[in-house]
Amino acid sequence: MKMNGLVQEPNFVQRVDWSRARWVFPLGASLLLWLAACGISGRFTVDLLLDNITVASFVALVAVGQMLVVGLGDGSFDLSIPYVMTVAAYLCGKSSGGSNTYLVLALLAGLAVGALAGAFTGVLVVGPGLPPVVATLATGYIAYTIVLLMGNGSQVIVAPGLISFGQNSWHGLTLVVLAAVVVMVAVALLRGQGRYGMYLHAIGQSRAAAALTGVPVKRVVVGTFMLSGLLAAIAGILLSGYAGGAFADMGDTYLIASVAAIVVGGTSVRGGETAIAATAFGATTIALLIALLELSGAAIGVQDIVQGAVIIGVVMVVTRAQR
Amino acid sequence: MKVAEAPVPGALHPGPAPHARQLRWLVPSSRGWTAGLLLVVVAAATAILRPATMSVTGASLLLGPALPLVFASLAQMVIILVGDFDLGIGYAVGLVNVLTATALTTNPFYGVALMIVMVLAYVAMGAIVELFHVPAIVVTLGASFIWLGVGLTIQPTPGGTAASWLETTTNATWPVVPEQVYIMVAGALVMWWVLRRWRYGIVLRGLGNNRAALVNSGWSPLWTRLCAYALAGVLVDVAGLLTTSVTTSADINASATLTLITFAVVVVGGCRFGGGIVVPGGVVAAAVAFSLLASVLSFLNVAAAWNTAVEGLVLVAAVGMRWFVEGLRRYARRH
Repeated sequence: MKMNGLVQEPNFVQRVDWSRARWVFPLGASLLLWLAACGISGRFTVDLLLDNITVASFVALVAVGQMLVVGLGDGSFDLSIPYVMTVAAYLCGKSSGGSNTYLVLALLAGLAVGALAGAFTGVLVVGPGLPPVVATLATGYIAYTIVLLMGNGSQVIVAPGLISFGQNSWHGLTLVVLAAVVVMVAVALLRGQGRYGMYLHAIGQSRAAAALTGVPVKRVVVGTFMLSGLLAAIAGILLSGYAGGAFADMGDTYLIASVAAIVVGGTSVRGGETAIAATAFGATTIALLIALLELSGAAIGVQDIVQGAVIIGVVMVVTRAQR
Repeated sequence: MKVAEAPVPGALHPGPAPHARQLRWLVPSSRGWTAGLLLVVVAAATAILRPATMSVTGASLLLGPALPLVFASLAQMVIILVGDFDLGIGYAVGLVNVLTATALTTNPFYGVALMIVMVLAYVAMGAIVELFHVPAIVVTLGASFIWLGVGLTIQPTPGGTAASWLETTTNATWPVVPEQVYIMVAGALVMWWVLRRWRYGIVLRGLGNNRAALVNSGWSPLWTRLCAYALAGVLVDVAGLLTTSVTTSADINASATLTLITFAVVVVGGCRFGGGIVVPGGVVAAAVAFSLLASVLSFLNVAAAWNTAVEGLVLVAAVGMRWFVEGLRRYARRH
């Protein structure tokens, strides 16, 4: 529904518009990749799919944050995601001291550092007018230093409660997946129900026009970076539980994966639109692609080349199709 | 919805400030001053902490590792000039490092051909950005994985050697100052001439500054972008070649950290993001300053972990300073 050039979002249930449901494509791609992986490994198994959905949950969480930032337009990208994930996981692990006693406080500290990192980036963007790419890099630099100073390069032990949350599963479906779904539904409600989604899309489509119609641009920009930081922190904390510890380079692969998930999900990387379900299935597609490459036994260099080529190829096809 | 207040020019300062005229001389007019100031401070700190570095040999040992950063930053500057970002520049330099420490050593013609292919790969990225209207960030991020993958396929673990001719030419003794200074000044002068004095340089600057004006005056934005990417590709080749001459081995991962630093260098060097404004001299000065900064921190016995934070803070401080000065300049101009 277009109104005066602003996209008016219908509510969450009404959103399923089958004629332009973009998430069908990445979902189909995920299923095809799963079948291909089953073919290569020689046995038909749902476990493979479930394992990768858990991995995809971490990608999906950061990709949704990245998607909101990209939605701001003007070449906005959040490059601090890997470092914010790591710093949140470190702070959560360190402040809990490896026990469950202060787990709730530790979780809050981890989430707070994520939101704080996002706020710092946002202030750099709306204040001195740094491009988001540079502002997020600066935040990332600082977060990474905090990681190095806290961890001394060694692994950080996380609370047993977090580990059991990260590793327990119900018929192969882990609690991590459940948590990711809950978080994504919350983001979808935030975007669909209040003014936030409308403001975000308006800013992404034309920042000048949005400012003139009274959209609180600065607040929305800072809020979006905070949301991305918060989502990265959630992903980082959950990942430290799943992996049984926090490592200095635990977030490294998540930057490219977050961008790839958006691209594969079909959301425009030029801003002004968001698609949460499509991005989530984009994340499963990326996770399954990496799993398939690993199963195929290709050299690590070849795996990297294929990943890079897929991103460039898909983004070319998607942008061509959208015009 | 609250209606945004329209800014009224001069409304904030209804009367002329009496001290505004005296203020004007305080405001530097050149955009490269932040980088120059930083370089002077860092070089002075180096000289005070380690007086021995002020000899030709000492200075060349300090400046050698700065060379790849200087040329990688110039490449990033050209990409930023046309309004793009290169997130794959670290791995691109790393790949050229791998090529020049393996193929170029065994067969110079093959090596040079591969370096030309690298320039063509940059041209291809430019074509994708322009023809498909894809943000360069996504293309270069994807390309960075291709550089990494190709580099790992050629040289999975660090190895290789630099050609003997490369080592002798880059370790020659030149009069008065180390050879590295000549290379850096030459790089800055060539880029200054190409972008600020050459008649086609203004076309390159025009794409980032005012695309509509460029198109209206009959220039092709596609060819302009391709030229800019080709120029960046050549600079990446130089940076990779110099990496090989400094490290004398092939290691794709050794250059990975360059990407982040080039952004800081280009900002501190005085260029404008979004394109249009370039300061080659400022970028070279900032690259040297950032390189020396790491040495100064180690002379001060600061843990290496602090390096990235200091770089991030210098970046934020430089931007904050420029913000303040530009505000001051606007204030001075208004009166």
